[in-house]
Amino acid sequence: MQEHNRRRALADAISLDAWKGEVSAKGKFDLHVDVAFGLARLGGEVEEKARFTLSLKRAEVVVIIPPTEPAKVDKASVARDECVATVVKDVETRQSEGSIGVGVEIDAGVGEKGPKGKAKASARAKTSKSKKAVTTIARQSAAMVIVQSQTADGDYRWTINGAVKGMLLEGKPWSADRAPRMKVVDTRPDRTKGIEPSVRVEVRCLRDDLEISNIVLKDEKKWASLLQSPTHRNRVAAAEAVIRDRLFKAGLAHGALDEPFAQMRLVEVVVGEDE
Amino acid sequence: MIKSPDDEDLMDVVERVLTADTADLRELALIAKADPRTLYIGTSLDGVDLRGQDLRGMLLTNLDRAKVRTDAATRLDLPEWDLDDDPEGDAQPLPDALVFIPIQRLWGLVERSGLPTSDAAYFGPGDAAQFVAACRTFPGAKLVLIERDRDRGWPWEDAPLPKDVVVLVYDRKLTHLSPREKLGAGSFRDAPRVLIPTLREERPAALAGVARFPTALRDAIIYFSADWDTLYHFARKMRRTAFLRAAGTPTSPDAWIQMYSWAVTLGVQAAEGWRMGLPRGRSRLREPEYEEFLFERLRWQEVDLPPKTKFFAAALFAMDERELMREELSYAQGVLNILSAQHWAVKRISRNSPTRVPRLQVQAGKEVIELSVAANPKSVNKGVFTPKELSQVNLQDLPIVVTEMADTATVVARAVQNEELRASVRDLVNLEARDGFVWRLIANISKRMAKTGDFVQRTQFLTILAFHALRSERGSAPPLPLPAMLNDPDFIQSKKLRLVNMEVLRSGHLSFQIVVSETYRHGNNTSHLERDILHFGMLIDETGPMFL
Repeated sequence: MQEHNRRRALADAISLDAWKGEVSAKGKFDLHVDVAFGLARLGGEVEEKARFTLSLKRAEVVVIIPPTEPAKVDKASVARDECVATVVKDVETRQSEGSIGVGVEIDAGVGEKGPKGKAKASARAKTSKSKKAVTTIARQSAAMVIVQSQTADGDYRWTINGAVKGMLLEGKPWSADRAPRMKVVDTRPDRTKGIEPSVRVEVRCLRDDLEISNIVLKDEKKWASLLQSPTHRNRVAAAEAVIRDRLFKAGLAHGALDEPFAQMRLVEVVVGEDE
Repeated sequence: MIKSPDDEDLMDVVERVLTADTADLRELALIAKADPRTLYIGTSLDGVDLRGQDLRGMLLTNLDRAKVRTDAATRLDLPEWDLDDDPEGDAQPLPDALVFIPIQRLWGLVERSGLPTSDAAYFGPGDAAQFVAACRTFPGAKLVLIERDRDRGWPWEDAPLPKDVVVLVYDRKLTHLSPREKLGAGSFRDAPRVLIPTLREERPAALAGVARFPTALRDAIIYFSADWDTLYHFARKMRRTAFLRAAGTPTSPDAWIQMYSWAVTLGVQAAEGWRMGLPRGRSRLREPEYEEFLFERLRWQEVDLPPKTKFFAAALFAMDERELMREELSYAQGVLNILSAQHWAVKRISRNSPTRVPRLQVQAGKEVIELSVAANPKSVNKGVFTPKELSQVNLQDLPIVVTEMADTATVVARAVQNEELRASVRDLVNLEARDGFVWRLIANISKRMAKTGDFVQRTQFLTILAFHALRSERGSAPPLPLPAMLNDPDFIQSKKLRLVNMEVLRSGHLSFQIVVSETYRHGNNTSHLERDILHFGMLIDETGPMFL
């Protein structure tokens, strides 16, 4: 499979960027990793006959420093907190006429559609002299749970799960700017000579973690008649398996194809080459 | 967009799979030019229909057997990870039973309310060939479910009825069957047939008329699956058998007496057979051991039942012609046994010469009771009576006849005709030698009547009790509007009585409340609404009913 096609398929579901912070006098620098998850809609081209959506249920962000590189991890600096990432979505502002009361603060649970789970909304209303009220609603969602650990190869990884079982990953698990993953020490005796160490960042997952849904044929008439079949679900499951199989084969990173827990590499970036 | 090694567009493959002419997962993989062995790793198969599919050699990591349809022809590997999680081997690929339901009405109930049991493989009217094929190698229970009044025999000429099946014949009635009753048409008559009658009174009134898969059939499937060898050989040897089971309740552990009542109605109480259940000690059944002396000719078979099984008295009876001759005497013997288990001594047994109905005289302490026993008395027309007719009934003065033709309508009709007080063996419980046999018996009859779904007859019976309380000089004054209400000649047609909050007190007395309701129309609405208009408490002790 052509790499650029696969990247395009995955781009909306996962995007990854990573960069070095400022290098200190002792050769230490922050490693910033920017990950964003979303829902990819595939099949937008006119000639494509089917449509589906792709997102992730779980993913691992792994930082790899090859043993040959003149660099090491500053262990004390690794972002280790097990934490729940919250995502701010849908900030909306409303203006309304009339007196609402001064400094009223409403804090109410608002059920939100979709797999986002619980959402909290806080509304603040203030009246101005002209009795115009401005209401700002910011929904803050508990979205992802992050657990830090190390892989069998000793690399540092952050496993990202939905906050609720079955919840899909959406948004950014951490702030890339404010929360660097770790400090890396450049161990060259003379940092003015030789090549800068390069650090690789990968996002990996299992086959199970690819959530493929909303498979439809664009030919609506044909699709409507297919939906009538009592064994329709069999063919949808097979189609889902075909899509998963293709994506997986292209990104197979570790393990054999028939190993249920084999991992695939969704995306990777190398830090330090062209900086 | 995403290209495979053979450069085929993924969306084209997806389209080909979605429009394929097969539901077979292996074929679908081949249509996608993928490896069937690994294709389904990580894909949830919830909701998929795997009937008739051979999926051996395929890695189905996300298969939840409870969420897919399978049948006996489904072949699956037992995956390693299942073995690890499940050392008991619960996830056996083989079902407990193959069940074929050729009758569309029954199959419709399965489709509507789900599979009756989770461990059997079910085949619908169109699946005869699959059922026959699956039977060839299957060692466990193989059952065909038909209905007595809808059966047209085995219709598939190209696939003969397998030799070692048992045909369960569901009957929506519980009636005394003639010894010549054929049970099943055509080639079904070559197979062992088991009659499964509906036991109407066990259905709570609220559920009467709701079409659900018959629980009696479901329970028969459970028993035949649990001990196929014993039951199959017995059914085969006897040709025609009847399966009965009873639940009893923790407060009245009289499951075997209920069973006896139904067996008498069918005429099989003296027949040989097997009774089945959990080993004693693990069952909730309490003393006395009625099953031992009511069913002398039943052999005991210990059966390990699924934990959810609610009923604990079950038996398969032979419907043998010769045994039907003995039923009248055996019934009298059964009644005697039940009473003597409760410490009543037999004083005399006589037979009325014209009817030859056995009469028993039993005694406990000073009390002497006479009762007649009639296994199969003449049927009685049920009727609707005026309050005046009901007011003249004196239940305690009527001669007692123990018979299994003692449903509410019959009890009321015979009492109004001033003939007899009919009781079933099911009413002969909690009668340990104490005073007031008659009213304790009537209290038991009342308990049974409270459950009937026939509200007109229930209203009539409870009205008779209310009149007794009105005549009584004990207890509280009657609720004010009641006497006036009972003067209304249309009382029975316009009001409904029901019995609630029934309680057996420590003294053995029965206390309960009666709710009177009436139907009315709201505005121009054509539908009838119902409202409760009166509530009162009653108690039945040794000397009769009174208001509370």
